[in-house]
Amino acid sequence: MFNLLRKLACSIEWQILYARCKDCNGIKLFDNDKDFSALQLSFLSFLEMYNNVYLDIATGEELMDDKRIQDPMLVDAYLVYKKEEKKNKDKKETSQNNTGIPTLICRRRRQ
Amino acid sequence: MEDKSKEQIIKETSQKLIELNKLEELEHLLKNNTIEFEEEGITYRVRKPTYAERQENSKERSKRYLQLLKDDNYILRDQLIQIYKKRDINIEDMEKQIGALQSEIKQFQLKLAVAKDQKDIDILKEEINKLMEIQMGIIVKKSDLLSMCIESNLIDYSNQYIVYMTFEKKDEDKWVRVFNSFEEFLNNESSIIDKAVYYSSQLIFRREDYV
Repeated sequence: MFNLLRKLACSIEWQILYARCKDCNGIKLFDNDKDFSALQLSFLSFLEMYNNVYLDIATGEELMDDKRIQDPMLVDAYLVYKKEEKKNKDKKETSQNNTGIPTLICRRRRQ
Repeated sequence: MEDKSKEQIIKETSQKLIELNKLEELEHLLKNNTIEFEEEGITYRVRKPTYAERQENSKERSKRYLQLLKDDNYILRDQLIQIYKKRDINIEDMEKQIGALQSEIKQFQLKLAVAKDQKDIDILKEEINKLMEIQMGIIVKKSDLLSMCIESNLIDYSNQYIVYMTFEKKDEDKWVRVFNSFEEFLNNESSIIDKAVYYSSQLIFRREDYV
């Protein structure tokens, strides 16, 4: 079931519909516009996920292309890789920002 | 390019048709937050529970919880884990194994993400599938072992109660409950309940709820 849901979310038809929905309020993905079912919520998160991957392809991402995006295992691997890369980058930035200078100096008062 | 036999082409085409049908059915399920289906000329539907129904379910669950606590035939999850431990079945170890396998899968995924050669991709995918299969085996085993505890019993009971409340049939222009009481629902053995349970699970439970 979830592989089919992903296939549908990855399709150009649904991606176009999803992009249009984000742009203008008049287009609806489902009959209901609130109180979404679990299946609808899962589908929405897959739509968003594939939307981001398509965006990465459009901006020249080397590790992903139109063929690889059709393979759920390659997409999962790519997302894990990207997450790990971001984690490492954040860690590096935090350590670079650490100058070692204390922001508050506490001295014990002499009696 | 490899020549395909007639049988192979027929097989692939019929597989594609089956998948297309499934995709169409899935699009139908996605259309709304209720699912309608027909059986022997009667229109049925399952829907999401209302706030009042969720409250009723919560009350029923509490009642059932107290009943199970008083019943000596049922024990809590932690007690069951301790009993298994004495019989050399370690649930905590199983959880650790599931976590360790996940880390191993992640390592292969990191390699797969940068792999370009098709041969390497196939090998890595095979490794990941193998590990996922082992991991799923442990998850299923753990879930089976714990299915006898009060907590699991309570989840099953609560899910069944939701299906009973939200399973309706069309009576002229009105939607009415299919079963007049929960007992009637539990005692009914028709396949229509299996269908209602399946559709209801699509409406209410997300992927992470299954694991």
